[in-house]
Amino acid sequence: MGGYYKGACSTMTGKLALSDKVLMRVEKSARYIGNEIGMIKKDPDDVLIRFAFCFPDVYEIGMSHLGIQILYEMFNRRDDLYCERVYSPWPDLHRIMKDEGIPLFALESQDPISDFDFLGITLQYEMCYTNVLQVLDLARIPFHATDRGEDDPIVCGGGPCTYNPEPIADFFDFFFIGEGETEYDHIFDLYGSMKRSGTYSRSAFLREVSHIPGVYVPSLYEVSYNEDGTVSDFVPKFSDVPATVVRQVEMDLDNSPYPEKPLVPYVQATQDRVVLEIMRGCIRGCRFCQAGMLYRPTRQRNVEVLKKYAISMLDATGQDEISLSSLSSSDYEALPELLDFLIDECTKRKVNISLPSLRIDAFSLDVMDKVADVKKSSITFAPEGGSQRMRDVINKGLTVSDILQGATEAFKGGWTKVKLYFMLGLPGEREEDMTAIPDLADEIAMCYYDTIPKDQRNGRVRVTISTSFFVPKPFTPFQWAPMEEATEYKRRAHIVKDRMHSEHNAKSISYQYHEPDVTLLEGVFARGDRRIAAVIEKAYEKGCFFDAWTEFFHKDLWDQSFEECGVDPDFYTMRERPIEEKFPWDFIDCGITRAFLEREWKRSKEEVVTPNCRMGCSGCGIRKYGGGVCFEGKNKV
Amino acid sequence: MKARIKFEKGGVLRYVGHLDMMRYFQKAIRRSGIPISYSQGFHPHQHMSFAMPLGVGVSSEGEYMDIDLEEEINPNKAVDDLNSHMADGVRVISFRYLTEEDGNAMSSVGAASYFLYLKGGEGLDGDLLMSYKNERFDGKDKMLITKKTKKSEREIDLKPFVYDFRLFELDEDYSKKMQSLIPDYETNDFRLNTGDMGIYLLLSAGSEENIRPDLFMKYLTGRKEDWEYLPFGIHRIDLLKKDKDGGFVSL
Repeated sequence: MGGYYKGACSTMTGKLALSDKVLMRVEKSARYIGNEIGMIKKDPDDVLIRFAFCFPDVYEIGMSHLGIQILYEMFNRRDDLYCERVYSPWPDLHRIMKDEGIPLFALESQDPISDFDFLGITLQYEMCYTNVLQVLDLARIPFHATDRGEDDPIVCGGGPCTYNPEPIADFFDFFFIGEGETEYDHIFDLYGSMKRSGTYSRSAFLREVSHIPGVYVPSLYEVSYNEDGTVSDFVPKFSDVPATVVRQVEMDLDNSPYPEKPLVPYVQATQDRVVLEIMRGCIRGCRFCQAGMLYRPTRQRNVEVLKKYAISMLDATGQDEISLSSLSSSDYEALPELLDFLIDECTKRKVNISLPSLRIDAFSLDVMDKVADVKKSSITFAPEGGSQRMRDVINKGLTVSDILQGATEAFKGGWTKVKLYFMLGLPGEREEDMTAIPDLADEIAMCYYDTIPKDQRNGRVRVTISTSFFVPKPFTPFQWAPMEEATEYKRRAHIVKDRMHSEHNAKSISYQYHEPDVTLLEGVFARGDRRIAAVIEKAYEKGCFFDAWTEFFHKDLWDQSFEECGVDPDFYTMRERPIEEKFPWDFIDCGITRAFLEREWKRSKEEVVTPNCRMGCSGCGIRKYGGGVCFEGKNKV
Repeated sequence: MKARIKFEKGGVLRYVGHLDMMRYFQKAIRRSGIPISYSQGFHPHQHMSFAMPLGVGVSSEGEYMDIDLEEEINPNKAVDDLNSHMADGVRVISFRYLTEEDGNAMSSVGAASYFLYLKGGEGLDGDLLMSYKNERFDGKDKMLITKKTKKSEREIDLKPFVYDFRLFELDEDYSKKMQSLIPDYETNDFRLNTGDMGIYLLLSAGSEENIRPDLFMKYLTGRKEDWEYLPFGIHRIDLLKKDKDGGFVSL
């Protein structure tokens, strides 16, 4: 009878891992049913390799992530592999799954994760670490890689957090460091050939896969520590295992996979639109920004290819909005041409264009005027530092005159809402840097009243200040920098607040800031070592997960966990680290040199700015990748 | 030019809620190239309105929405174009142009017909239902129950709004049809086999007095649970409007 059933995909028969009873009692049950437009259907029996791709947060967040969609497309191009998706069950379902012993399942086939060959987890932010444990727990996979047996899936990780994977190293069989487009085919080829030839065993595969560039197998390395707690040595256990793991970069973006038929969720995703990644990397070199360092060199996608992607994505999804994605869209050289095309095409189709990360100037205002309702939309500046001194420290090349000029233009164009983003707790921050934040907001408000005559004003100007607290990240010039106590962060936020109330235009300004507790934990994870794993495990046992969600963050449980594990969080956050300190992540070669980062750290202390990649090469070391901005005509050394 | 689209919804898609379903159709219409008309302004939206929301978990073979079109298209082709862009579980049944006499879908709904089936393992069976019917429905002058909405709580008499209520045994055709619409019936122990007891309801719906089938079943069984905990599944058969003679016809 096989013939009839074999061809039919399980989803077509309406198979669901969760019973009606469960689905009827959880919030947004459509998170768990799969079957979205764009979902790839294969018969699991027809493939050798089953890969479950996990974003360890709720469906709506995970579905908004472009990276997974790129790799979902790429992996599923293989005939011997079926890549499916899995997200963190929301706490209501989590409780039911625990109580009723329901195993975690993938959306496509609705099969248990334990049936899979791989569980790949993308690590986009540190606060998802307990959710990684939730996923392993519900999937019934042992937390520690060393406790896993032959039948357990290989658990691998990728994404920005892998640039210091050490706090979660115990939980992963391997990490892939770099852009997944480059090496995953080799990883699958290796796995497939070992399976086919019968030479596969978990340990043999992990040993072999460690030879693939960018792959880091934590269990194959030994870490030792100095008496002061810092890392003294980090060495491979075997001579064939590389001592340094080199980040892999896709240098041919135009010919690499792109999801031209992206998934269309039923439940409204956080990013409910198609996303056009126009560029990877950033030329700017802001010293706090990990993405700006990690994703070098800046690589622009070909504008003709992007036009084609835009059309095919809109056709395939029926989405009514398209968003450009990059770290700094204004630095994409073909932006005017691309926007002309999109405005024309999207007007015809009644599709909205969303333009984040645009520098405010005459050009962008003109574009925004065409695509958005000026009365309702706001213009955004991210000066990050309040004073020019602080902006020099962080190498943010935005001046007060740039901002005021942009704002003036915007006010003339009819805008009345301005959003300002800053960070507090940047290295060497002084009180005058803090008070400069509301002072700048006040200047902008003043600029409105000076620019727009009373009879032409459409009410009051609204300037919104948001501050977050700075977290030093690996592979940035600030990786040596100390953080501050929570009480100190609060004090600084209050300085901003008090000063704001005394501004002349106080009534036009509002201020929001994030709570500092999560920031400090993020700081521990960002620059922690392998000893943090025990704390994460302890906190999960105590009930911590969804830590990125304020309503689920329990500071008291985390405090207890650190104490019970005998780990001092301040060791990781409060010290200014000596320049020669060996970091837990030093075994990774991310492309930029330690010498460059040290130079930048020194220059920040001297308040000296460094030119962006197009103004001149600063020798960060990334030229060795042989492409991108380093080889643009105007930037030959 | 206005057209009315009728569709059915079942399979795993019955867990997609009303708002998500609206967004689903907005995208499906774009994908299928139906020349729907849009509002003016910076964020144009499609001229589309649904006759009545369908609850999460409820299947239906009689859902309706009205759309405004920029130009006339062939109705059969419209059905095919839409169906080639549907997810498994949703199927467009018909597409017809509205005439002067047709009101808009939402305001013309006067009644809804339902088939309710038993969900197993909850101690509710055909005999018990029969006794409830004898006791609380047949020959009753008043059927009082408290109706709660988000805004208010009031006691109402269901009697004038329950147009029909019958218990029946599923015949083979109906059983097969329901099984295809809810393919996971067996794993969930839904009683959809030939001979299983089913409930037919015709209830007042729409703006005048909207009676949900679970409200009636709460009255009938005396149960107090929220509807997602009640031991029967709901399937909407059709949405109807009053015709000239006071009877009901399909939208």
